[in-house]
Amino acid sequence: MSKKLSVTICTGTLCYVMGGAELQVLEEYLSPEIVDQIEISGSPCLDCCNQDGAGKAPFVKIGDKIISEASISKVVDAIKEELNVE
Amino acid sequence: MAINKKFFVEVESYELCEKGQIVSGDVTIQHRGKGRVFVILSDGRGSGVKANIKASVISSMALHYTLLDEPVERAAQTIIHTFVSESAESEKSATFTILDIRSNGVVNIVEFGNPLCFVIRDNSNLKLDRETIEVNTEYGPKYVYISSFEATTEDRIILFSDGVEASGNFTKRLPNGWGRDGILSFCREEIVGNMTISAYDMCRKVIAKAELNDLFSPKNDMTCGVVYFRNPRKILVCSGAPFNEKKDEILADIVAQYDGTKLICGGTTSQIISRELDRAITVELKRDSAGLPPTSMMDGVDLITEGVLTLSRVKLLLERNVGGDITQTGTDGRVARMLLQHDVIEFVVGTRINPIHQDPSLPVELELRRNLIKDLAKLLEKRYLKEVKIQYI
Repeated sequence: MSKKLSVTICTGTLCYVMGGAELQVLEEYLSPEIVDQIEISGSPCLDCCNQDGAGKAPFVKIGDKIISEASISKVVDAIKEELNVE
Repeated sequence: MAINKKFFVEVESYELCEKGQIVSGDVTIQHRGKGRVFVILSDGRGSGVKANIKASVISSMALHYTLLDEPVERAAQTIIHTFVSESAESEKSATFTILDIRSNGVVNIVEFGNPLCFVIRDNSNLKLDRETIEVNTEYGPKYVYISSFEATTEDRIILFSDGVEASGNFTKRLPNGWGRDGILSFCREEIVGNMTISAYDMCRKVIAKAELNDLFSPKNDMTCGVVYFRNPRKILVCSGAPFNEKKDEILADIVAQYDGTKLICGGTTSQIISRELDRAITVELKRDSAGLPPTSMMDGVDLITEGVLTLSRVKLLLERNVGGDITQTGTDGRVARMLLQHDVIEFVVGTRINPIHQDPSLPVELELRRNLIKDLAKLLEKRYLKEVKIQYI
């Protein structure tokens, strides 16, 4: 089995108050097949909020890609796109 | 508030009211200042509001006379003249015990009317040479006991009101009450069971036992105060990224070298320490009952939490807590309990400001870290009598 796709949710202050809190239940919105192919973890701070042009909080890192203004649906779509599944 | 580099003086007391009363007639106060610790236990005799007011006045008088370094005789005389009446139990109508603990470890004890206190050293009762002072009143002479000893680490002083001593009176099991010997052997057993039992736990255990002796309906107000001379328990609280990035290394060094409990409050802060010390962080992605961001773990660090939000909730919790225990299960409760379990709290505060946090559209809880920690430190120092140090980096 190939390497799992890493999904890192930022739990820093800014991301958390801007809506990152709800991202912790991300797994519940994914089908078991997808959950098997990814690895969800947290990060105390992805250090994206300080970078110009990175967009707005909350941030989620999927593989090497940073998703800004992340919401459950946006992250789910991005994961599906990355894994090439419908 | 540093009492002595040698030891920290932990003072705790616990009290129960006589069944049916809502306030206790026993009053314990502690005061720290001028490098000294004062502990006063006063019993207003009887119970209820009247006794409580009387005991409060007595303890306040006793404290202020001691603070002003007035001679003991004078303080005792004034209190006795004011409060002791001609009633049958005149000896006992106003009682007080004063402990004056100095920075060099010398403890002066003044006792009037209360059961005499114990000093437990090496798990045996240290005998005190009590000097008797006669105070002449219009109702005849009254006797005040004064004594003094030099405390060393691991000494304990146990104070209690007569309600504890008399607990169990007239029951089948303890027809003559618990008594001094009973209390002493109970304390010694507890110490054998746990050599480093805190004053906090000790006074609660004594009172719980006294309540049991009275078959769970206390016949008198019961108070137990415990003073424990122990090695200070230290905690390091790191929050905030250093203003200058060159200081990141210093911050990490402080964490690595610290001898005591370590707590990091801040996402970026923990990332910096993780990077500098090359230790991985694992975030525990689970919902917190207080609705705060999740905590994380790192080798050699006791707890990692988010920064400003968590600390402002901790502050709120400590502000609202009056005397009781903190039972909240969330991260805020966990951090608050952690802080209260230590005697020396050292904050290392990074002063770099995240400009994004100053966005006016964000919730107001995002206070400035420096102000927040200043308030929290003040609260811990004034209300919880902790020794607090703040270092900005």
